[in-house]
Amino acid sequence: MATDLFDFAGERLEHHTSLDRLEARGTLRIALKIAGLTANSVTVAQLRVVFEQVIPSELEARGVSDAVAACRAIIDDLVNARAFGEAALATGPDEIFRRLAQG
Amino acid sequence: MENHAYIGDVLATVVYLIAGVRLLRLGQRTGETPERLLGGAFFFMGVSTGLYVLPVFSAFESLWTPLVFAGRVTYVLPVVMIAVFTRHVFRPDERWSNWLVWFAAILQVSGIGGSALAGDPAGYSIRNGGFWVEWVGYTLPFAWVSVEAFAQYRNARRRMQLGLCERLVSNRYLLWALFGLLQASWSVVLIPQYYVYEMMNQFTTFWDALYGGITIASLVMIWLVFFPPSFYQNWINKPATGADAAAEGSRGGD
Repeated sequence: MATDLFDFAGERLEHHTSLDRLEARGTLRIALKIAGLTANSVTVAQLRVVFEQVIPSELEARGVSDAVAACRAIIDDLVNARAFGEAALATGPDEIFRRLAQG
Repeated sequence: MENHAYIGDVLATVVYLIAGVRLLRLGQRTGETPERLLGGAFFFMGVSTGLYVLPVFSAFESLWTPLVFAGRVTYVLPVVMIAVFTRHVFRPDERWSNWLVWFAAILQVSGIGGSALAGDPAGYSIRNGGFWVEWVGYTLPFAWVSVEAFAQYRNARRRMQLGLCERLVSNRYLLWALFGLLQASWSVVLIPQYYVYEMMNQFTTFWDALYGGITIASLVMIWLVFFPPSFYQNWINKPATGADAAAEGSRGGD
Protein backbone atom coordinates (compact mmCIF):
# COMPACT_ATOMS: atom_id res chain seq x y z
CA MET A 1 0.00 0.00 0.00
CA ALA A 2 2.69 2.52 1.03
CA THR A 3 4.81 1.66 -2.00
CA ASP A 4 1.76 2.33 -4.18
CA LEU A 5 1.40 5.63 -2.33
CA PHE A 6 5.03 6.48 -3.02
CA ASP A 7 4.52 5.65 -6.71
CA PHE A 8 1.39 7.79 -6.80
CA ALA A 9 3.10 10.74 -5.09
CA GLY A 10 6.07 10.43 -7.45
CA GLU A 11 3.76 10.41 -10.45
CA ARG A 12 1.90 13.50 -9.15
CA LEU A 13 5.21 15.28 -8.53
CA GLU A 14 6.24 14.55 -12.11
CA HIS A 15 2.85 15.77 -13.37
CA HIS A 16 2.85 19.11 -11.51
CA THR A 17 6.51 20.04 -12.10
CA SER A 18 9.06 20.07 -14.88
CA LEU A 19 10.88 17.06 -13.37
CA ASP A 20 11.05 13.79 -15.29
CA ARG A 21 10.06 10.48 -13.65
CA LEU A 22 13.52 9.66 -12.36
CA GLU A 23 14.08 13.16 -10.97
CA ALA A 24 10.66 13.24 -9.33
CA ARG A 25 11.12 9.88 -7.60
CA GLY A 26 14.69 10.75 -6.61
CA THR A 27 13.58 14.08 -5.13
CA LEU A 28 10.79 12.34 -3.24
CA ARG A 29 13.19 9.74 -1.84
CA ILE A 30 15.63 12.43 -0.70
CA ALA A 31 12.79 14.36 0.96
CA LEU A 32 11.59 11.21 2.76
CA LYS A 33 15.10 10.56 4.00
CA ILE A 34 15.38 14.13 5.31
CA ALA A 35 12.06 13.60 7.10
CA GLY A 36 13.18 10.27 8.62
CA LEU A 37 10.60 8.28 6.63
CA THR A 38 10.76 5.34 4.23
CA ALA A 39 8.95 4.77 0.94
CA ASN A 40 7.52 1.41 2.02
CA SER A 41 5.83 2.66 5.18
CA VAL A 42 4.93 6.30 4.52
CA THR A 43 1.32 7.41 5.02
CA VAL A 44 -0.78 10.14 3.41
CA ALA A 45 -0.62 12.28 6.58
CA GLN A 46 3.16 12.02 6.66
CA LEU A 47 3.49 12.75 2.94
CA ARG A 48 1.34 15.82 3.41
CA VAL A 49 3.83 17.20 5.95
CA VAL A 50 6.73 16.31 3.65
CA PHE A 51 5.10 18.18 0.76
CA GLU A 52 4.41 21.15 3.03
CA GLN A 53 7.73 21.42 4.83
CA VAL A 54 10.48 19.59 2.97
CA ILE A 55 9.82 19.30 -0.75
CA PRO A 56 9.27 23.00 -1.60
CA SER A 57 12.89 23.86 -0.79
CA GLU A 58 14.11 20.71 -2.54
CA LEU A 59 12.20 21.70 -5.69
CA GLU A 60 13.49 25.26 -5.54
CA ALA A 61 17.03 23.91 -5.27
CA ARG A 62 16.34 22.00 -8.52
CA GLY A 63 15.11 25.12 -10.30
CA VAL A 64 11.40 24.28 -10.23
CA SER A 65 9.31 27.44 -10.44
CA ASP A 66 6.38 27.98 -8.06
CA ALA A 67 7.28 24.95 -5.98
CA VAL A 68 4.82 25.83 -3.21
CA ALA A 69 1.85 25.86 -5.61
CA ALA A 70 2.95 22.54 -7.12
CA CYS A 71 3.19 20.99 -3.66
CA ARG A 72 -0.25 22.32 -2.73
CA ALA A 73 -1.70 20.71 -5.85
CA ILE A 74 -0.01 17.40 -5.03
CA ILE A 75 -1.38 17.51 -1.46
CA ASP A 76 -4.87 17.98 -2.90
CA ASP A 77 -4.31 14.98 -5.17
CA LEU A 78 -3.15 12.88 -2.20
CA VAL A 79 -6.09 13.87 -0.03
CA ASN A 80 -8.56 13.22 -2.84
CA ALA A 81 -7.07 9.82 -3.66
CA ARG A 82 -9.22 7.76 -1.31
CA ALA A 83 -7.46 4.53 -2.21
CA PHE A 84 -4.76 5.15 0.40
CA GLY A 85 -5.86 4.50 3.97
CA GLU A 86 -3.96 5.18 7.18
CA ALA A 87 -3.67 1.55 8.27
CA ALA A 88 0.12 1.82 8.39
CA LEU A 89 -0.13 4.20 11.33
CA ALA A 90 -1.56 1.52 13.62
CA THR A 91 1.26 -0.91 12.92
CA GLY A 92 4.22 1.44 12.46
CA PRO A 93 7.10 1.51 14.94
CA ASP A 94 6.06 4.92 16.35
CA GLU A 95 2.58 3.70 17.24
CA ILE A 96 3.94 0.48 18.72
CA PHE A 97 6.51 2.29 20.88
CA ARG A 98 3.91 4.83 21.96
CA ARG A 99 1.56 2.01 23.04
CA LEU A 100 4.19 -0.08 24.85
CA ALA A 101 4.50 2.45 27.67
CA GLN A 102 0.81 2.12 28.52
CA GLY A 103 1.26 -1.12 30.42
CA MET B 1 28.70 -16.06 39.89
CA GLU B 2 29.21 -14.40 43.24
CA ASN B 3 27.48 -11.69 45.25
CA HIS B 4 27.68 -8.69 42.90
CA ALA B 5 26.22 -10.55 39.96
CA TYR B 6 23.56 -12.19 42.11
CA ILE B 7 22.33 -8.84 43.43
CA GLY B 8 21.79 -7.82 39.82
CA ASP B 9 20.21 -11.17 38.95
CA VAL B 10 17.77 -11.13 41.87
CA LEU B 11 16.70 -7.60 40.91
CA ALA B 12 16.51 -8.64 37.26
CA THR B 13 14.27 -11.61 38.08
CA VAL B 14 11.78 -9.34 39.85
CA VAL B 15 11.86 -6.54 37.25
CA TYR B 16 11.63 -8.92 34.26
CA LEU B 17 8.66 -10.75 35.78
CA ILE B 18 6.83 -7.51 36.61
CA ALA B 19 7.56 -6.07 33.14
CA GLY B 20 6.51 -9.33 31.51
CA VAL B 21 3.20 -9.58 33.33
CA ARG B 22 2.35 -5.92 32.74
CA LEU B 23 3.13 -6.16 29.03
CA LEU B 24 1.17 -9.40 28.70
CA ARG B 25 -1.81 -7.69 30.35
CA LEU B 26 -1.40 -4.78 27.93
CA GLY B 27 -1.36 -7.30 25.09
CA GLN B 28 -4.56 -8.82 26.43
CA ARG B 29 -6.21 -5.38 26.37
CA THR B 30 -4.98 -4.31 22.94
CA GLY B 31 -4.89 -7.72 21.26
CA GLU B 32 -1.67 -6.65 19.49
CA THR B 33 1.33 -8.89 18.84
CA PRO B 34 4.30 -6.64 19.82
CA GLU B 35 3.30 -6.26 23.48
CA ARG B 36 2.54 -9.99 23.71
CA LEU B 37 5.96 -10.83 22.28
CA LEU B 38 7.80 -8.50 24.65
CA GLY B 39 5.62 -9.54 27.58
CA GLY B 40 6.44 -13.18 26.93
CA ALA B 41 10.12 -12.34 26.42
CA PHE B 42 10.46 -10.51 29.74
CA PHE B 43 8.42 -13.10 31.59
CA PHE B 44 10.69 -15.93 30.44
CA MET B 45 13.79 -13.79 31.01
CA GLY B 46 12.59 -13.49 34.60
CA VAL B 47 12.02 -17.24 34.88
CA SER B 48 15.41 -18.01 33.34
CA THR B 49 17.30 -15.53 35.54
CA GLY B 50 15.44 -16.88 38.57
CA LEU B 51 16.56 -20.41 37.75
CA TYR B 52 20.19 -19.20 37.63
CA VAL B 53 19.78 -17.46 41.00
CA LEU B 54 18.02 -20.28 42.90
CA PRO B 55 21.17 -22.38 43.58
CA VAL B 56 22.52 -19.49 45.71
CA PHE B 57 19.97 -20.44 48.34
CA SER B 58 21.14 -23.47 50.31
CA ALA B 59 17.87 -25.34 49.88
CA PHE B 60 18.53 -25.53 46.14
CA GLU B 61 22.33 -25.89 46.22
CA SER B 62 22.26 -29.59 45.39
CA LEU B 63 20.23 -28.80 42.27
CA TRP B 64 22.83 -26.35 40.96
CA THR B 65 23.56 -28.01 37.59
CA PRO B 66 19.97 -28.98 36.67
CA LEU B 67 18.67 -25.52 37.62
CA VAL B 68 21.34 -23.70 35.63
CA PHE B 69 20.70 -26.01 32.68
CA ALA B 70 16.96 -25.28 32.95
CA GLY B 71 17.81 -21.55 33.03
CA ARG B 72 19.86 -21.91 29.84
CA VAL B 73 17.09 -23.78 28.04
CA THR B 74 14.43 -21.31 29.18
CA TYR B 75 16.55 -18.37 27.95
CA VAL B 76 16.08 -19.55 24.35
CA LEU B 77 12.43 -18.42 24.45
CA PRO B 78 12.93 -14.73 25.37
CA VAL B 79 15.81 -14.31 22.95
CA VAL B 80 13.74 -15.71 20.09
CA MET B 81 10.77 -13.55 21.12
CA ILE B 82 12.97 -10.44 21.18
CA ALA B 83 14.23 -11.32 17.69
CA VAL B 84 10.67 -11.86 16.42
CA PHE B 85 9.67 -8.52 17.99
CA THR B 86 12.52 -6.75 16.17
CA ARG B 87 11.51 -8.34 12.89
CA HIS B 88 7.82 -7.58 13.44
CA VAL B 89 8.38 -3.91 14.33
CA PHE B 90 11.37 -2.83 12.25
CA ARG B 91 11.73 -5.30 9.34
CA PRO B 92 8.31 -6.88 8.72
CA ASP B 93 8.73 -7.12 4.94
CA GLU B 94 12.35 -8.24 4.76
CA ARG B 95 12.97 -11.92 4.08
CA TRP B 96 16.47 -11.80 5.63
CA SER B 97 15.02 -10.77 8.98
CA ASN B 98 13.02 -14.00 9.10
CA TRP B 99 16.18 -15.97 8.42
CA LEU B 100 18.01 -14.07 11.14
CA VAL B 101 15.37 -15.11 13.70
CA TRP B 102 15.68 -18.76 12.67
CA PHE B 103 19.49 -18.54 12.62
CA ALA B 104 19.58 -17.23 16.22
CA ALA B 105 17.14 -19.89 17.41
CA ILE B 106 19.02 -22.75 15.75
CA LEU B 107 22.35 -21.52 17.10
CA GLN B 108 21.03 -21.42 20.65
CA VAL B 109 19.39 -24.83 20.56
CA SER B 110 22.35 -26.53 18.88
CA GLY B 111 24.82 -24.73 21.19
CA ILE B 112 23.02 -25.87 24.32
CA GLY B 113 22.61 -29.38 22.96
CA GLY B 114 26.24 -29.53 21.86
CA SER B 115 27.73 -28.39 25.15
CA ALA B 116 25.37 -30.58 27.20
CA LEU B 117 26.30 -33.66 25.17
CA ALA B 118 29.97 -32.76 25.64
CA GLY B 119 29.48 -32.87 29.41
CA ASP B 120 28.94 -29.18 30.23
CA PRO B 121 25.20 -28.75 30.89
CA ALA B 122 25.79 -25.52 32.86
CA GLY B 123 27.47 -23.97 29.81
CA TYR B 124 30.36 -22.36 31.66
CA SER B 125 33.20 -23.91 29.66
CA ILE B 126 34.47 -21.59 26.93
CA ARG B 127 36.64 -24.43 25.61
CA ASN B 128 33.46 -26.15 24.52
CA GLY B 129 32.41 -25.27 20.96
CA GLY B 130 28.76 -25.39 21.99
CA PHE B 131 29.34 -22.43 24.31
CA TRP B 132 30.34 -20.22 21.38
CA VAL B 133 27.51 -21.39 19.14
CA GLU B 134 25.00 -20.60 21.89
CA TRP B 135 26.80 -17.32 22.69
CA VAL B 136 26.38 -16.06 19.12
CA GLY B 137 22.75 -17.22 19.21
CA TYR B 138 21.84 -15.07 22.21
CA THR B 139 24.15 -12.12 21.51
CA LEU B 140 23.15 -11.53 17.89
CA PRO B 141 19.46 -10.69 18.55
CA PHE B 142 20.36 -8.06 21.16
CA ALA B 143 22.99 -6.52 18.89
CA TRP B 144 20.27 -6.43 16.20
CA VAL B 145 17.89 -4.69 18.64
CA SER B 146 20.54 -2.05 19.22
CA VAL B 147 21.31 -1.45 15.53
CA GLU B 148 17.63 -1.23 14.49
CA ALA B 149 16.61 0.98 17.41
CA PHE B 150 19.56 3.37 16.95
CA ALA B 151 18.68 3.68 13.24
CA GLN B 152 15.03 4.28 14.11
CA TYR B 153 16.06 6.84 16.75
CA ARG B 154 18.04 8.78 14.14
CA ASN B 155 15.01 8.84 11.82
CA ALA B 156 12.61 9.58 14.68
CA ARG B 157 14.60 12.72 15.56
CA ARG B 158 14.09 13.91 11.98
CA ARG B 159 10.37 13.10 12.14
CA MET B 160 10.17 14.88 15.49
CA GLN B 161 11.42 18.10 13.96
CA LEU B 162 8.56 17.95 11.46
CA GLY B 163 6.00 17.15 14.15
CA LEU B 164 5.64 13.55 12.93
CA CYS B 165 6.94 11.83 16.05
CA GLU B 166 6.47 12.46 19.78
CA ARG B 167 9.53 13.31 21.85
CA LEU B 168 8.86 10.45 24.26
CA VAL B 169 8.57 7.92 21.44
CA SER B 170 11.81 9.17 19.91
CA ASN B 171 13.53 8.91 23.30
CA ARG B 172 12.10 5.40 23.75
CA TYR B 173 13.97 4.22 20.64
CA LEU B 174 17.21 5.51 22.17
CA LEU B 175 16.53 3.73 25.47
CA TRP B 176 15.60 0.51 23.66
CA ALA B 177 18.81 0.76 21.62
CA LEU B 178 20.79 1.19 24.84
CA PHE B 179 19.01 -1.83 26.32
CA GLY B 180 20.10 -3.92 23.32
CA LEU B 181 23.64 -2.57 23.57
CA LEU B 182 23.81 -3.33 27.30
CA GLN B 183 22.52 -6.86 26.79
CA ALA B 184 25.09 -7.45 24.04
CA SER B 185 27.79 -5.99 26.33
CA TRP B 186 26.60 -8.31 29.08
CA SER B 187 27.25 -11.23 26.72
CA VAL B 188 30.75 -9.91 26.03
CA VAL B 189 31.48 -9.60 29.76
CA LEU B 190 30.53 -13.25 30.22
CA ILE B 191 33.57 -14.33 28.17
CA PRO B 192 36.35 -13.07 30.50
CA GLN B 193 34.18 -13.95 33.48
CA TYR B 194 33.82 -17.57 32.36
CA TYR B 195 37.48 -17.67 31.25
CA VAL B 196 38.63 -16.71 34.73
CA TYR B 197 36.16 -19.18 36.23
CA GLU B 198 37.62 -21.95 34.14
CA MET B 199 41.17 -21.03 35.26
CA MET B 200 40.50 -20.38 38.96
CA ASN B 201 37.21 -22.22 39.55
CA GLN B 202 35.65 -19.05 40.96
CA PHE B 203 34.19 -15.82 39.62
CA THR B 204 36.29 -12.71 40.22
CA THR B 205 34.96 -9.57 41.91
CA PHE B 206 35.78 -7.23 39.02
CA TRP B 207 33.95 -9.14 36.28
CA ASP B 208 31.12 -9.97 38.68
CA ALA B 209 30.67 -6.29 39.57
CA LEU B 210 30.72 -5.33 35.90
CA TYR B 211 28.15 -8.05 35.13
CA GLY B 212 25.91 -6.81 37.96
CA GLY B 213 26.32 -3.17 36.90
CA ILE B 214 25.35 -3.91 33.29
CA THR B 215 22.35 -5.93 34.46
CA ILE B 216 21.11 -3.08 36.66
CA ALA B 217 21.67 -0.51 33.88
CA SER B 218 19.55 -2.72 31.56
CA LEU B 219 16.78 -2.77 34.15
CA VAL B 220 16.80 1.03 34.32
CA MET B 221 16.34 1.14 30.53
CA ILE B 222 13.37 -1.26 30.74
CA TRP B 223 11.82 0.85 33.49
CA LEU B 224 12.20 4.07 31.48
CA VAL B 225 10.96 2.52 28.21
CA PHE B 226 7.87 0.71 29.50
CA PHE B 227 7.01 2.43 32.78
CA PRO B 228 8.37 5.97 32.47
CA PRO B 229 7.73 7.94 35.68
CA SER B 230 6.05 11.31 35.27
CA PHE B 231 9.19 13.28 36.23
CA TYR B 232 11.07 11.57 33.39
CA GLN B 233 8.23 12.17 30.91
CA ASN B 234 8.12 15.85 31.89
CA TRP B 235 11.88 16.14 31.51
CA ILE B 236 11.84 14.63 28.02
CA ASN B 237 8.78 16.63 26.98
CA LYS B 238 10.01 19.99 28.25
CA PRO B 239 10.38 22.58 25.48
CA ALA B 240 13.80 22.67 23.88
CA THR B 241 15.97 25.66 24.68
CA GLY B 242 18.73 27.56 22.90
CA ALA B 243 20.11 26.03 19.75
CA ASP B 244 17.65 23.13 19.79
CA ALA B 245 14.66 25.46 19.86
CA ALA B 246 16.10 27.57 17.06
CA ALA B 247 16.70 24.50 14.96
CA GLU B 248 13.20 23.17 15.58
CA GLY B 249 11.63 26.57 14.99
CA SER B 250 13.35 26.97 11.64
CA ARG B 251 11.93 23.59 10.54
CA GLY B 252 8.42 24.10 11.78
CA GLY B 253 8.83 22.74 15.33
CA ASP B 254 6.69 20.01 16.87
